[in-house]
Amino acid sequence: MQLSAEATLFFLMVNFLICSAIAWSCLCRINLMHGKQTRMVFRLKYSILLTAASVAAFLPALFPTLAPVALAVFGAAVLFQLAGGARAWRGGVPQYAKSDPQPFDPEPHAHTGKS
Amino acid sequence: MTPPTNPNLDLVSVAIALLGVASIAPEAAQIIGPYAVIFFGALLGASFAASRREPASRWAAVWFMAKIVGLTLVITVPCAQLIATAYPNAEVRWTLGPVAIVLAGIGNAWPKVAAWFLGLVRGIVERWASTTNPRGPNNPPNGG
Repeated sequence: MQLSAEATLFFLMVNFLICSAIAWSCLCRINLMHGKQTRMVFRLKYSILLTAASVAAFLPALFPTLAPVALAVFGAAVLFQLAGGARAWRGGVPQYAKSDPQPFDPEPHAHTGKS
Repeated sequence: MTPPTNPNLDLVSVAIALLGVASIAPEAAQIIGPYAVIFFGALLGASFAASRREPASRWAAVWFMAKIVGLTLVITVPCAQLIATAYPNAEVRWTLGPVAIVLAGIGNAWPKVAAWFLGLVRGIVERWASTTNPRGPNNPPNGG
């Protein structure tokens, strides 16, 4: 079963808009970075994601038969993004991902006087 | 039956082959393929260079990256050919992508690169001068 030409065009356009938004979001974050204050891995992660999003936006739009190539490139960039943050997850959920980023308190009711 | 030849696995050949799959005329694919590799390599390098500079407005970042990508599109092929001339084993097809990434990655640090290059040349000249004249200009032979 194949998608109709109209449906293919629609999804190509949706893909273009989503990938362009990803690339723009990466650009906004890259623009806030500074060489001396931002870790290299973060700068590399967002640069790779921006490039992959551009590939994934333009390649299927220009050459629809090359959509699987764009998908592979984008998948590789997402994998790099996850691998770059793997160290932070080694010891459990990292502090920045917790909903209550308070330090562990062995006696949570000691301050309120409750037993 | 002739044995299969080794396929070219460099990024440029792969891009040309993929464009052939996408029903692009082979003549056009020979041009679009290498420049697609250079463009996306330049985009990667330029975005990395943009992450190194002082924060500015978003459109300033877009303009910065456009300048870098444009410059890289122009100078990558001559640089890759220069490298291939100096190192005959380095084929232009293999070097286009990495050269584009490196050239774009330099960003606005070209003055620093120029200073480093001049220092390198100066070091080579000084080393050459010391080997040809080990006494140096201040130590003339036979006490002057």
